[in-house]
Amino acid sequence: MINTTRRQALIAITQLIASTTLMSCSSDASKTVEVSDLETLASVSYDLFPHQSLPYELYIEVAQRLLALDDSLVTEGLASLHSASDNQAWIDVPEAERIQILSAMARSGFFALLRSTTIDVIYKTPEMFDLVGYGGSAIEQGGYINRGFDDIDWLEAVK
Amino acid sequence: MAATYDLNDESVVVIIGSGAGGGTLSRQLSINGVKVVCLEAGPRLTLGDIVNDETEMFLKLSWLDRRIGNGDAPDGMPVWSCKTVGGTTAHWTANCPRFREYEFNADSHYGDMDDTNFVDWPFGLDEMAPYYDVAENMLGVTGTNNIPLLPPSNNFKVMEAGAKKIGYTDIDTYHMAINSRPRDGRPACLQMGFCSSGCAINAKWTTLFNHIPQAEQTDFFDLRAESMVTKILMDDEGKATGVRYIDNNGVVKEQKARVVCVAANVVETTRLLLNSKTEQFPNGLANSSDQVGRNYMRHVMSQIFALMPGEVNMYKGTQTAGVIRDEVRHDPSRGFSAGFQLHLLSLGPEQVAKTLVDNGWGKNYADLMENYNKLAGVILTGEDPPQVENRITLHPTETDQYGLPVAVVTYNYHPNSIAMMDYAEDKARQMYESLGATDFFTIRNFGATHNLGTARIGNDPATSVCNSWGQTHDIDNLFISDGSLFPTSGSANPTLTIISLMLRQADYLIESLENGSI
Repeated sequence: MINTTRRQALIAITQLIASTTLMSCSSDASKTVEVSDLETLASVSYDLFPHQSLPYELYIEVAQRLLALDDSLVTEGLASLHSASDNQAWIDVPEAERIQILSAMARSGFFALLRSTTIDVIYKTPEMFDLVGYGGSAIEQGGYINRGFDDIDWLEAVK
Repeated sequence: MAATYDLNDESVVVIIGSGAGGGTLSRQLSINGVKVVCLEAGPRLTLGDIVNDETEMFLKLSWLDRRIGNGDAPDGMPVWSCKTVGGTTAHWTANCPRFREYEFNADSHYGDMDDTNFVDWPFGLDEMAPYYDVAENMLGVTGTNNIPLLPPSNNFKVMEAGAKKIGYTDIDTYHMAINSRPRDGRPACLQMGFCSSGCAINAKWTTLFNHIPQAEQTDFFDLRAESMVTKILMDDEGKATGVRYIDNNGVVKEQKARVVCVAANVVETTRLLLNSKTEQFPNGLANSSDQVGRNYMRHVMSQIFALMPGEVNMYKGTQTAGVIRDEVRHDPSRGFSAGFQLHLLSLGPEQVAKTLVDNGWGKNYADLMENYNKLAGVILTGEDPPQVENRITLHPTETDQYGLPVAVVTYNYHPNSIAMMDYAEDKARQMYESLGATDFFTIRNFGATHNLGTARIGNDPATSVCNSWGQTHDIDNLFISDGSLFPTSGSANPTLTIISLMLRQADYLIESLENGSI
C-alpha cells in the first residue's frame, strides 16, 4: 500500500493534470478523461519502472499518451486490471498483489504497449538522463572527445 | 551534374537500391561514363536531418514495412535494414574487416558440417585484395593507408583490460570507416556515440554523402528517391527489359534498361526476383537453381553486457570501435567449427531499457537501469553456416501497401552456431568478471543487420544464382549487387566486402558493355 501522504499527493497531481487536460479538450465534447483511468495507468506505469526520484508527472504523461491512443487494447487492459483487483482503486491494491497481477499479464499486448510507452516517454527526459548520467544529444557540445570519452579511472586497480 | 534519363531510354543501367552495393556500383559506372538510373525506395536525407536521437533516427532510416520472422528470427522485426538513400550504410557502425584467406575457402577449410550448404567462393583473397585496397582508401579505413586507428574509449578500455586478463592479445580499436582525423572532405570523429543513428557530422562514411554525390558530379547519374521498384520486366527471350516502379507521387512508371542490377538488400532483392516470375521463370527470376532466397545468413550474433564495479559511460564514444580477433580461427577443439570476433558495443539508455532483459520490468529492473553508466558491452559476430532451409519467401496471402506479398524471413540456428554463442558469451563473461563485474546480460535473436547469401555466386548454375561477377546465370543482363551474393558469411561485418565485390562487378560490367557482350 502506498503511504497515505504519497497517495494524497498522487491523487492531487493526477486530478490537477486531468482537469487541465479536460479544459484543453473542452472544445471536443466527445473526449472525456476519466481521472481514475489516468490514475490507474500512471500507477501501473510506475509499477513497471519505479524510479522514485523521477517526477510523477512523467508517469501521468505516459497515462495521457495511452488514453489518447483511443485503443481498445488500453480499455481492455484497464478492464483486466480492475477485474483482477476486484475493482479496487489500483493504487489501493497492496504492492505485492499489484506485482502479481502484472506478472500474470506480462505477455499481453496491453503490457507490451504499456512497457514500450513508458520507456518511450521516461527514458528520453532530462530527468532520466540526469538519473543515469547520460549526456543525451552530444553534437551541440562537440561530442565526447574532450568530455571524458576515455577518462575511466578505476581500471588500473583491477587490471 | 545530375542527369535525367527518359523512361524509354533503353541504354541506361538501372540500379535498384543506393546502399553499399547500389551506391558503389552507381558511382563506378557513372564515373566511367555509363548512364545510370538509380531507384531508391526511401527518401533522401540531408546532413541536417540527422540528429542525436536513437528513436527519431530509427524511424527516419529504417525499413519499417512489415516482414514476418520465423524460427529464431524475431517475428516483429526480423531484419533491421534501411529505407533511405544510402541504404544500410545509413545505420552501419562502419566496421571494415577483410575476409580472411581461409574464409573464402570455407568448405575446404572447415570440412564437412552436417545440414549445411557450405561451398568455397569461386575466387580467393588474392583476387579480392586489389579491390579491398581501393575500398579501404575510398572509405578511409583506420589502420590502413597511414590512417591512425581511432583512440580508445572507456568501453574499449574495459573490453581490452578484461580480454588481456583472460589471455587474448589481438585487440585494437578496429578497422573503421570513421575518420580519426579530417580526410576526404569529412571531419574527424567527435566520439558522439550515435553511429547507428547516422553520423550527424559525416565523420562516418556512407554512400549518401560520398558515393552518391560523387556519382552526381558526373553527367551520367539519375537518382530517383522514394521510388519503389515492384517488378523487373522481361521479354519473351528471357532478357530483362526494365523495371516497374511507384514514383514519389505514387504514380506507376516503367523505366527501360539495358541492364538491371538489383541492390535492394537481401529481403527486397529476393522479393523482387520471386515477384517478377514469368512463364519462362515460374519459380522466380534467375531461379533455375532454386537457390534464390535460400542459404540466408545473418552472422551468429549475440550482445553481451556486464555491470562493472565503476562507471564506464559507454555512450561516450563510437558504438563499436574495438575488436578482439583471437577466436576468429577455425579450431574445432573449442566445440564448434569456424570462428568469431568480439567487437565493442554500446547502446543508449532507451535501447538498453527495451532490450537488456527480455520484457524487463519492476523494481529490480529500474534499479538496474539506474546503474546504466556502469554497463560495458561487446557483441559477437561469427561465421553463420548456409542452410538451405534458412530462407526468404513470400507470404501466401498477406500483402503490403504496394500490393506485394510480404516477405517471410525463416532462420534457425545451426547447432554449430549455438555452440559458438555459448562459448563466446562465456568468454565475454569471463573477461568482465576478471575485472569485478557482478551481473551479465545476453541478448540473442534481434533484428539482423548483416543479411547475406540469398543469391549466391558460384561456378555451378545448379547450386548458385550468379557467376563470380554477380551476373545471374539465367539472365545475362540481370545482376545482383548486394550482400545476397555471399556464398559464405565469413566471421564478421560484410560491408567492406560488399563494396569490394561491387568494384569488381563494375569492372566486368563496364567492359562487357563496351565490348557489347551484354
